[in-house]
Amino acid sequence: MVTEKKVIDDEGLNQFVSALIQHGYAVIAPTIKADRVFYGVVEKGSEFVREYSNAQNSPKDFLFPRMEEILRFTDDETVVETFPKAVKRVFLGVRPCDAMAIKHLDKLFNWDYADTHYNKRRGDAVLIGLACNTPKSSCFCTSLGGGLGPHHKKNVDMMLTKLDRSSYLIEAVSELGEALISLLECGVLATSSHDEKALELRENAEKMITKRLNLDETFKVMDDNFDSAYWKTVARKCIGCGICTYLCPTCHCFDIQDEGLFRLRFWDSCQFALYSKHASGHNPRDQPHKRFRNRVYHKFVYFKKNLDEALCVGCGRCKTYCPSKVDIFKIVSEAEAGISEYRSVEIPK
Amino acid sequence: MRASETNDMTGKIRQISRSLLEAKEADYVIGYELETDGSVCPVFIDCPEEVEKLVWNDRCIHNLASFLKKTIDDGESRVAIVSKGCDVKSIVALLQEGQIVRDKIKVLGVDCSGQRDEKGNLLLKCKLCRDHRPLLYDSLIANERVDVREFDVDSVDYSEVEDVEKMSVEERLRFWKEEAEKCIRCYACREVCPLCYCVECFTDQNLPKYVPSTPSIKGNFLWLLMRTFDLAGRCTGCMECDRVCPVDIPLHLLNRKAIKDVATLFGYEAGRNPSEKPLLAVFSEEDPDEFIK
Repeated sequence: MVTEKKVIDDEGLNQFVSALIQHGYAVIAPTIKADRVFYGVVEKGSEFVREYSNAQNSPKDFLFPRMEEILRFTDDETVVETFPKAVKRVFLGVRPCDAMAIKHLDKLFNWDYADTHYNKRRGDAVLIGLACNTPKSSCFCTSLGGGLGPHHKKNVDMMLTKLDRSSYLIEAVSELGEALISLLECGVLATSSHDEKALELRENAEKMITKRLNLDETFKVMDDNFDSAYWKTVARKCIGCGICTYLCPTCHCFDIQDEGLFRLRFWDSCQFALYSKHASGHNPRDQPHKRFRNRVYHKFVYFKKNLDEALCVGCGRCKTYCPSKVDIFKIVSEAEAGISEYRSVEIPK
Repeated sequence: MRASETNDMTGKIRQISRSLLEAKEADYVIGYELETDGSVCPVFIDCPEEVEKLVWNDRCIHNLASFLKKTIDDGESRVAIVSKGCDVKSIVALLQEGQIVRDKIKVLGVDCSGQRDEKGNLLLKCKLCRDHRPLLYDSLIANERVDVREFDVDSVDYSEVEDVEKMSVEERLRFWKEEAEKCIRCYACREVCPLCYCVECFTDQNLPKYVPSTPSIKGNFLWLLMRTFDLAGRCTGCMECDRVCPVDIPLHLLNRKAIKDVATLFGYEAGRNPSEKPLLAVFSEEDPDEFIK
């Protein structure tokens, strides 16, 4: 497969969005809502914001929505399963971390059970990535395996790299992307100088990410020290809300409840006491630090045990939007030193 | 704030904290710590050697009184807490409601000229603030540059609330529907609120379930409204719920509407006097009853 690469300007990108919409795609891209960036459905290309580090929410919201109907009860006492409508979707401007998150969700929702609702939504959704040229100080994607980095394009169908103030390198990465790039009527073919510029931007961006983590060591230290008082200490300033889990691009827990004639599934969070409370009244995660520890362990230990990868993609949302600025990177990267300090300490009640 | 002010005040906070910890008058100190990115976050100091972590500047936004909720259960911890004027009102409200014991809390009251967001803008709660000097403290970290005049109850500015009141019913419904639709039910507003300390929140009750926990428009409306009513006459207006909301719902409009109505109808404001009974614990024949039809 010869990948076609083109260089387009902002107007060309707008035209591309219009072409996608004309071909029946719902285009989901970062948009501005009251000074903040959120993923949303765009009606025209100009609504797609291009100057952002990352959106506050992630594409997860559209693949695993915060609430969905899974079946309904009818008046004649039958039960009808309901499924999401098949919609042709394009996710535009997806950062490499969020694209990796979708890959993790694909794995998770097809692991021990193929989740029809997720898969219907995911379907043939096209991912168009936008390389990160200026990662934030809270980013640490390069330590999380799978080759992830600010310009990583393995998990997208097409990739955009902003070369200068108004030009973008656009390239097809998958066959799906190859088919779509033919909708692009404008632009010039990319030359080696464009490639060189993109490479330079990539190297610069990678250098800007200074946070480093050794995943294997982290895994081992954490796996051996589940009962360390370290977890109680670091969890102290956590207030116990669900922001980190709900804004996380990979957190995927849900609850199912009936409301009226509908059975609904909706997001749930391991940070809530009710989440792990048994019908007997017993709660294995009865204290805040146990719930906090579960989130960190799911990202760095449990998912690795089950599906051989870290579930964190280093996007930094959990810290950025945390009311107390709890920093998962700091906690995990300092675990080894912290745990040896607490090795002999019993967890107080 | 000038660097000399922040340095002086930081120094005093550290000095008082150190002596409290050394004299074992406090088990730990809840204060503010500087993050590497220049922001400030809560910190827990357990021993005198750690007091150097403590700072004071104009980014100390958090209401640390929320962490006092964690001491309600154990009832044993003696806690020293760095508090601005607004935070002290939460502490007073908790005292009024009998949730914390005065002797167990050491309040390091700080004169505050207002807190700023990451862009350097003064926060709304600080623009509305009339308590630059805390109403209650054990030690005062004074700043002579801060205006500490007595507050004037008639000068309260409710203009953002009045803007919503002026809307027609349809407009207002549309406004709140749009806001309620955004809610993802992360309960950050509940967890961060110093006065939301119920052992079991009404929205978590499931035997029977009377408020849907789904993030549906119905469930969200109920959550936002019942939360407001539960805090009426109790909310001190620290606006932490507003700050933490990850989808930017203007929760302060609901809470300040309740504060305004409570002030207008009952002449009461929560969190001003620890020996004053909470509004909802008092029956007075003078209470207005025009709304009972």
